[in-house]
Amino acid sequence: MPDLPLYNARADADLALFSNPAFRPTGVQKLGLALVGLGLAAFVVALASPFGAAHPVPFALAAFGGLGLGGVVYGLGGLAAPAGVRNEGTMVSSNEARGAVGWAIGLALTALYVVLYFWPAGLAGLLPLADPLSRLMRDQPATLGNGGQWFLYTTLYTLAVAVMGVRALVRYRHSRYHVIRTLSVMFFQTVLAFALPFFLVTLQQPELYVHYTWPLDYDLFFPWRVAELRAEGQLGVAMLVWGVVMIAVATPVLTYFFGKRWYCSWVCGCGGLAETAGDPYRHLSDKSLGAWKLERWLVHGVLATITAATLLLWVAAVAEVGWLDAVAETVSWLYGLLIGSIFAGVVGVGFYPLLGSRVWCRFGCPMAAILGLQQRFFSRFRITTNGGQCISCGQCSAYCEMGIDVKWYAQRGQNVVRASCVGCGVCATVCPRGVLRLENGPDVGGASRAGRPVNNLIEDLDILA
Amino acid sequence: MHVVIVGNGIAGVTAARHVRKADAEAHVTLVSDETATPFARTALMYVYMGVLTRSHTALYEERFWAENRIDRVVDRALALDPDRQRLALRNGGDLAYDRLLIATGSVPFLPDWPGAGLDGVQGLYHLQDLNRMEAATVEVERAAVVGGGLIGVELAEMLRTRGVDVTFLVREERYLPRVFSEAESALVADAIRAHGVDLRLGAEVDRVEGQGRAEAVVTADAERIPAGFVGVGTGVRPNVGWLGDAVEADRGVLVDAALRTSAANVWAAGDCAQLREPPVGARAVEPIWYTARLQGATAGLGMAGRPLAYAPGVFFNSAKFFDLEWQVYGATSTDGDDWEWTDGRRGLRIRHADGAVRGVSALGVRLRQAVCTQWVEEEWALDRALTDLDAARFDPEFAPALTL
Repeated sequence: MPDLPLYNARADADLALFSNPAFRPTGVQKLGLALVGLGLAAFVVALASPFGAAHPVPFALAAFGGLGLGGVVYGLGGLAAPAGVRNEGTMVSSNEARGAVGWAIGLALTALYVVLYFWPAGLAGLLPLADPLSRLMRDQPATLGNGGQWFLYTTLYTLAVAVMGVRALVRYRHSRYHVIRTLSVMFFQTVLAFALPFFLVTLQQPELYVHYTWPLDYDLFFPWRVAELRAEGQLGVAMLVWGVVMIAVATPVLTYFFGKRWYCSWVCGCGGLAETAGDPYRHLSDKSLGAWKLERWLVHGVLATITAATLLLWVAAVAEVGWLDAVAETVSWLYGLLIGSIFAGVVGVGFYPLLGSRVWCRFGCPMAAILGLQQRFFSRFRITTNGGQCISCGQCSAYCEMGIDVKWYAQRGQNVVRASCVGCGVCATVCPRGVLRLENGPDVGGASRAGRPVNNLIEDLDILA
Repeated sequence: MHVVIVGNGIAGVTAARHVRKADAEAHVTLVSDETATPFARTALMYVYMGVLTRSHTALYEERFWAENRIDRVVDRALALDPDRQRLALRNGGDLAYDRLLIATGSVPFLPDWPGAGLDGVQGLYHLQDLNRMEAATVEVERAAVVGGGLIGVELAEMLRTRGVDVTFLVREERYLPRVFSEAESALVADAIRAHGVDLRLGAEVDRVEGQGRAEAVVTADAERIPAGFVGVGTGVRPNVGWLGDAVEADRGVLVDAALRTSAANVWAAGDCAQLREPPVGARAVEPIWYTARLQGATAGLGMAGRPLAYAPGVFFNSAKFFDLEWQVYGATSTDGDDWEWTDGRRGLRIRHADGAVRGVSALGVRLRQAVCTQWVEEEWALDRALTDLDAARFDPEFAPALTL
């Protein structure tokens, strides 16, 4: 479109740095940003100098306190604006529209993941900062030898969900659906993915992730892991049984009644990060048909690969065929590297500000693939369109984090039933005309009446088809 | 058969789609000088606000036009010659047609205040209006919006997102009195004021002052309100001036029940059309999105040889006043009594007469169109409708109950 309005024409200039004309931070928000800046500075100094190791407690306080408290203060600053859908300026924001700030954050996150996975020694300067908390939570120091870098990572991850969760709670406070859903992901991350597992480590028990199962926990059913868990005793065996129950019973039943959202935007840690820290980037998902095609090949391909790798490992283990064992080991190692590390971490989170917050969930997650197939073919869940009310404004599609062209359905009056939909509900929230509704009730009463012609002419003319 | 459609708003585009659906062979040409890419006019405000980019507002993806073999011509229609069946274009010469649809929409109506011609005084309808507004509001810190209609409130919202101080001048003593009950007017006024808009009810504009461009609005009681931009939302008029006397027109192009004009092989639909005999519940000129869509479909099928009477069924419309959504079904302002509920933030009103529901108006409550339509169509008794309220609700899960 050549004749762009000035707002968009100026966008290139505005995306340079902090010059989004719709963003006018309040005093509270500026204070929050300053504290976040302090936290980041503490991390950088600790990383690049011996000061962090020499004074771990004050540095830990400044780093985690700055990020945590600053983020919360910044989020609470949103209370100054009236409750409601506040997306103004999103498309011209340097941070949110792939401007300089967005690129800087994307590169920094990507670098962090690359170092974490492939050169953990590079994080040595930061580990002392995690040390006090590590001693408190898992009764051991944070060192490279005992996975201290993963403790640090999980701590930062949980902090991001909690802090940006506060921002999401403020931002979506007009909608109880979003408030409850956000509290849910915050609970699962802080308690079930952080506090409980590390507490169990303190008790000399295996780390237990109650809400996390195969195929997301991709090596759960690998022969060596099964042997390891059985050796752990009762809790280990219980974890195995629980893993089987989760994927074989809980998942199909809950997905039948509620759609895949029960997991993807209420429970899952990846989803939790996407819905909180990733919320500012949700609109950056690719809506093209090509992306949809790629999504189906990739996500189902990953599911097929991990299923095949698991089976292969068992065949190799049971049949004790040496060369098969080598092949299976290679496949599972490659899976861990390419999918577990590079796809889920580096691309999945590192590229938030460039490709949106659900790249991993959409293109890579094998759990999402299973849930999606169930949702598409065996679920009551749907997004219902309210008669002929769509004004084609495009906000539903624009803000869909899964890249679904919701408008395509809405303006045709069709219900949206898509494998990828995580049921976050944002399409329905941003719709200025109340056209969309997430439903999973049986199709009776009002719901079935939605199937009757809403308007004779619409029906006669087949206007929506 | 060559079908030419003048105007690529929702009426024109819907007509083009329906011609194609009913006739695989027809040659369809869509003419507009506004933009090559038909877009949702209702979303213009969101582009200004930075909520959307232009590409989000496209009605269909680019491939849609090739797949449906709809040709798009960016040119301005200057005149129509129905005898020779030709349309004169500014750049493209004459375009011959077999069937023609006039779907040229509206133009904003500006009252003849002194100073109405100054730069920075404008309405909002076309993309070009948006671009002008973009340029006119660059360094503006204070603005006025005149006219309490749906465009007026959109203008106020747009300006607020740029941090502009807005004085909103509405002539009536309460907000949209012909549409809302007193309680509803109050809810809407609260919603507007919650965003820092200085809403002045009962305020009449006398003139706009400025040297070359707007600097202030002066009200009838001589108050001078500084305003570097004056948004005008005092209504729209059918865009029919270009037609001369090619077809019979009153306010809009006069059309029969099948949306045919006085000229052979010429139809009209949408904002620019005026029904000679409006069906019950419809107005002769109805410049709203949904009816333009229905008229476009009707005319499209008519041009493809499947004439149908325009029968829009139970009326519906919707809007959003800053954060407050509004839906309306049926007749909510005709004779009758109101059953009304509000909790101070949301409101629900059912207009009933002769023991039957006539219309439903909801503020901050989402309703299901199918259910409300059924109440009105089948003339449900008020009590029965109230017991059916759960089925009518379209609010998201966990939304607070309506404690009646």
